[in-house]
Amino acid sequence: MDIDRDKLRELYAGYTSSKRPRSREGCPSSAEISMSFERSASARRKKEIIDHISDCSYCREEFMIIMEYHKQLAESATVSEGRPSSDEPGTLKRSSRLVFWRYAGAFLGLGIVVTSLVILRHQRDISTALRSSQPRLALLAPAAGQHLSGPPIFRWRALAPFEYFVIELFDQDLLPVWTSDKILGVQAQLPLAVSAELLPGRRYFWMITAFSGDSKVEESRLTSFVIDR
Amino acid sequence: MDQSHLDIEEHLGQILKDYGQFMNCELRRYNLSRYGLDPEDILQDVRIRIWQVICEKKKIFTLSAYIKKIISSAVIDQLRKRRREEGLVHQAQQIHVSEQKSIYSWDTIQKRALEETVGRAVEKLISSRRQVVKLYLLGFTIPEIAGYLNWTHDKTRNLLYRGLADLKESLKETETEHGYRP
Repeated sequence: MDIDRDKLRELYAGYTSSKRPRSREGCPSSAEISMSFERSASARRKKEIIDHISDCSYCREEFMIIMEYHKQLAESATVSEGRPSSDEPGTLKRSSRLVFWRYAGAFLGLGIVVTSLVILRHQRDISTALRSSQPRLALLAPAAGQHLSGPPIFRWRALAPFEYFVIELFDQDLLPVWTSDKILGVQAQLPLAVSAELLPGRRYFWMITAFSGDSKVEESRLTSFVIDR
Repeated sequence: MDQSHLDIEEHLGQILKDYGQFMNCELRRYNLSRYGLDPEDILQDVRIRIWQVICEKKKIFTLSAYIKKIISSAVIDQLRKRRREEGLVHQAQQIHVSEQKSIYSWDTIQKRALEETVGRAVEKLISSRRQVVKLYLLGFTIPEIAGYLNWTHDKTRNLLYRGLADLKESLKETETEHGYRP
């Protein structure tokens, strides 16, 4: 390939550096930019962010800060692979637990072998969703980016048997707005008292966590909707 | 000071004690000094957000993941705040610079026209290739682009090469009058 890439980069950098919006009203919020780096962020959302940062040098700089952070994170994960992180709380306790489990590894391995034999013996009882690598929670409504003129009704589909679900609602700065009680079905309406506090023109994020017993089994992706004026 | 306020203070203090080192490590990854940001300003913002969560008795299932997200958001908010504060000074400086030198030299006009042409040509690429090419031309590497878009390295590289080839074709058709030869 005979394209002078450095020259192209220089010209494109010149093109984008001249693009400065007069106000930040049309810019995504700080939470939207940082959330776009999550694996759960939609491809459409990522595309919107990329198109925006080529038109806004301010957001591009913010995007680069987050990209640099993720690069640092990936490098740290590579260096400390196989070793417990020294960052998160409880490191000392975790290290001594690891020493314990190292010596108990043989018994754990035996337990896994026995469990596997039991599962293979009852193969018909394992659902396709358990074997599948596809997400087991699909958010149906409100759909990503949907504009709502009334109180949101949350609907989702569960591809595996769960005991109950919990809905979490966040504002555009990812501050929690509302957390539901246990929901046994796959549909719930936002309480009117909470719905009345939602601000028109604002974007809100929601997600579902599925439980079996008291254990969290699955988390859905974060999806957003906008309250219309 | 009533009991509920004391409980909130105690709860906040416990979280800051448990996650203080974690927050400092996260902040170090942002290279804040490069952007003129004070880590203490961001930590204060994070403390306020955690305090709000405690006051409103909201449930957070994974506090470390939540703290990571609010740190990320707080860094950008501080940068925007700093820009707003510097905005008036910068505006005055711009006016002064434009009075000092001419921005209408022929070389500058030519260069800007070329930049516009490249920019427009990039916008004409098909969506999947456009995303990769934009990020590449903005200075990101293939691994960084693949990581952001959740694509494999091979897919990213292939779309990038095809996108750059399309860009070359487009520029050949429209750029000879500017003397640009890809």
